[in-house]
Order: sequence, then C-alpha cells, then structure tokens
Amino acid sequence: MSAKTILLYSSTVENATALMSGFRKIDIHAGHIVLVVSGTGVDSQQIKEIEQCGTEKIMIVHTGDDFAETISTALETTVHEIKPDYVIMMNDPFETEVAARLSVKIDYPCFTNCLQISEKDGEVQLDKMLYGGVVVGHYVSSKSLVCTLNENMCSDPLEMSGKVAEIIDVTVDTDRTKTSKTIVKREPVEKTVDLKNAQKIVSFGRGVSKEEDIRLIEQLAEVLDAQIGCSRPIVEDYKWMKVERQVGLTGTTVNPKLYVAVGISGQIQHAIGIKDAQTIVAINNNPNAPIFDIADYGIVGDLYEIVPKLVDSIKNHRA
Amino acid sequence: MNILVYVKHVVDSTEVRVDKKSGELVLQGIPTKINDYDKNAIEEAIRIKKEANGHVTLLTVGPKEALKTVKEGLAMGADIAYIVDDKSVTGSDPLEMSRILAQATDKLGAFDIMISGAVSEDMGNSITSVCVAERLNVPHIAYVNKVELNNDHVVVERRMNEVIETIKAQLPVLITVDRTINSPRLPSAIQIMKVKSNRIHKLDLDDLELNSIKENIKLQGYSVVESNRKNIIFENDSSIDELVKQLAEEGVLS
Repeated sequence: MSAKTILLYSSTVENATALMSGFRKIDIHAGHIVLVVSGTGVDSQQIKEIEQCGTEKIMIVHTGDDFAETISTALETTVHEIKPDYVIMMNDPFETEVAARLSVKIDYPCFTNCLQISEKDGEVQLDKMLYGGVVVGHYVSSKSLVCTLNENMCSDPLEMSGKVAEIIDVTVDTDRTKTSKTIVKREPVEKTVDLKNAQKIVSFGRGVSKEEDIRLIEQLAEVLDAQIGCSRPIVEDYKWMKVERQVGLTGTTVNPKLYVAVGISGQIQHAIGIKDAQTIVAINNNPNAPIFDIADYGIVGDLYEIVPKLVDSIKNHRA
Repeated sequence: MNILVYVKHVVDSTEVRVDKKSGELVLQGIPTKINDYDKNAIEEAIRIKKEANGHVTLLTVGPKEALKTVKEGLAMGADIAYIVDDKSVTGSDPLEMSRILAQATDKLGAFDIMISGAVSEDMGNSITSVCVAERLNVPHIAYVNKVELNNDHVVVERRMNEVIETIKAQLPVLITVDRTINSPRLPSAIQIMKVKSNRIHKLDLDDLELNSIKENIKLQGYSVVESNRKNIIFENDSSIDELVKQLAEEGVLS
C-alpha cells in the first residue's frame, strides 16, 4: 500500500493536539502530512506546544475573518498544492462547517463524525454511528475524501514525536473570500446548566407523576451534589423542564461518573445519550424497563419509596 | 420574503432497535416521521412569514412516504411543498444530496432565506445544508438559536461551544437551526388530513435536469453497539444500603 498524503485542519491549537491524537488511531499508512491551523489568536508560545506533534509542516493561516467560507477557501489552495488523499479534521461544530464548504469546492465526498478509516482492496472503509448511536454503519468510499473524526477518538493525550515541524505563516487575501457576514459580538455562555461537563447527574422521567414531586429528585441531587437532568417527555410533553436539562439523542449527550435514572424507561434515544457514563443506576417499578439492560445497578420498585430511602442511606454513609 | 425550508423524512430513531434473537437491526416497519430539527426550521420560517408577509416553500428529497412529512409542514403553515423522489438516490452521500437540493433551489425560484434543521436524526451528517450554501454561493450560519429579520439582512445568534456569537448577514442567506430556537406548533390530525394535495408537487431528477448523481459513499452494513454493563438488579429496597456501599467503593459517590 502506498503512503498517503494527508492534510489536517484545526481551528485552534487545542483542537490540533486532539486531532493529532485521533489521527494516530486511524488505520492508514501516512506519508506526507501537513497540518493547517487557523491563525487567529495563536501566539508563538502556542505554536511551540504543537511543533513536535508529528507532522513535517504546520501552516498557520491568517485570515481577515474566522468564517468557514474564508477558511475553506484557504484550504482549497493547499489542497490544489499538495493533492491530499485525505483531508481530516475533528468533528467540532466549526470544523464541520469548514469540511462541508471545502468538500464542495474540491469535489471530495465528505464523511463526518467518523469512528475509523481504513483501506482495503483500493477502497476506503469508514465507520460512523447511525440513528443516534444504536448501530455503527459501515461505509465505503470510492475516492479521496474529507473526514471529521468523532471526538471520543481524539481524547487521548498526544505523545510528541521529538521532531520539530517546519512552521509556515500564510496570509489569505480576504477580498477574494468576502462574505456578507459580520460578527456583531461574541460573548461567553453564562453557565447555568452544564450537563455535558457534569460529574454526577440525577435524571428523571415519566415515573414522576406530578410536577411538585420533582422535589424528591432535587433532594437526591442535593445529597449527591449532582446536576438534574430529565428524559424527553418531561421537556416536550409536560414542559416541566427546559431543553437544556434534556438528556438523550435530541438533548445533551452526557458522560458523568455517576448517572442515576429515576422513573425513566430507557428508550433507545435516552440510552444513547448516557452510554458514556461510567456507572449507571436505574430506579423503576417495571422490572422489564429497558433501562435495566443498560444499568450497572438497578432497583425495581416505587421511586416514591426508594428515593427517600436512598437519600437517607447516602446521608448515613457519609455520616 | 421568499423562504425555502429543507426538510428530511426519517425513520424514527427512538423506534429503531436490534432484534434480540437475530442481533440484526430492525428498520422495516418502523414508523417514519419528519426530522425533529426540521420542525423547528418550519416553525421559524412561519414566524418570519407572518412578520414579513412571506411565502414558505418546503423541499424534500425522499420516498413517497415523505408525503406525510410535507403534509405536516403545510398544516403547520407552509404554503407549498416539493418532493424530489428518485429511486437512484439512497441518501448515503450528503455531498450528492446537496447537489440535488441546490439544483432544485435554483429551479424553484429566488429565495431570500433558506432554512433547515442543523442535523438529521438518522444519519447525523450535519453538513448537507452547508454544502448547499456553498453550491448556491450564499453565506450560511449554522446552529442558530435566534433569528431577527431587518429588511435586507438578518441578525442571528448561535452557540459555538462556550461562546454565543451574534452574526449579521445580508440576504440571501442559509440558516441551520438548533432545537432551542422555538417550540414548533403541533398541527392536529384533522389539519394534516385537510391539506390539499394540489399544494404538493413531485419532481424527479429529470425535472431538475440532473442525470449524473453518483453517490461516492455507500452504506455496506451495520454492526450493533454492545453494552457491557454490570446489570446487578436488586428486587427490593432493603438492598439500598448495599447499593450505596458499592457505589462508594467504585468512587462515584464522592
């Protein structure tokens, strides 16, 4: 198998490190590798951090704006220069926009949220989660392509290669890429509910029969120092909680140390949203509820009896 | 104000399951429906329509079952719908899908705003609409949770990781929306039933003067994601102390 030319793109230095870590897991014989990083806000100290990440060249692209339209135009030029077999990015929201624009410009197919890339009999084999993660779909591509890597592939710490890359600064002529978009302002998100980064989550579903009974869940969350989450019907049908607390396929995908599911049946879309939790505890009165299939620990019974006892037991344990 | 909404008819992911005996994915006979994110897109289009005396067109590429999806969208308040139905399209290659959507957009007229959901529930590619914007040579703003229309431009908000961006763009523009943008109205079964079929038009690739759709990415098969949980189930509440002890030992209580 001949060595492949790879173009890697990252919108930030942090993403570049993660991208390189994910790239190492791909089953492709890489030859020539070029990493392109967006230059906005990047200083020489940050470049030092990645100069030994394992590529021969790092191009720092300086653009007038940070829009996907502009970055993809810059990358198009690089693609025409080095003719890569693969263009690879992380499956970050912004990178995904760049991947979409670029793939049209260079007429490469685009495959997002990829779990593996390998080659067999002249075809590229690709995997990704489908239907919110119920299954992995196996795909083939007949030609070179743009791929974004699933973030779980990019979570290992990166070992440096010891070789220093050649750093090239490139300035893009933004007249050529002018869009009618302008940034009016950028503000950090006010942290109210952050299930994505929560260490512990107590979540509830339709087993809680009245809105005022949510206080039971609050008591358990308090004693555990956990965030409160919920299943889809609580948000969409009952409107007891806002969507920011919805766990699952159409809400937030979570990865806490501890996830306690109270009165949640565990429909597949909820199950997918919690599959990366370290330990799952389920409380449900239906012994056949699918939540028990995906739980580490389950208690079959009435949540109105069990939750207060669980709160007491945790208090006693701590005492 | 001419608004186009791209909608996708999908298998209901919450009903997709793996057959416990055969280990195979069950896709046949599963309910199909409108992609939830696209409902938010339709809702936003209707809101803008009311504010700016607009006209809302729905466009979908899908099998004849997609009729259900566009009827729902029309019952919500869209004006007219087009279904591109062609057996040669499997939908496995989003770049080729964007070719069809962009060509149809050109054919159907001049639109000021194009809207879709940010992602489809089934394949989750989240690139198709942005590819369409590139083909149409219009700016796009993805993952939007607020749209404000001011004559010839929009001011929108979107959340990118930990930052909220406010972006201004001249029309025409393509927007993909997040589910937090609004609460889509629920048309009643009767409202959906009453939608006149003369508001729904069918197209095929010939009508779009497209004959060379070659999907370069093809789906070959599936494998089931295994779960390896402990599955320790206590049948009565006297074991609560035991559970707490085990959780403490695992270090997940602290």
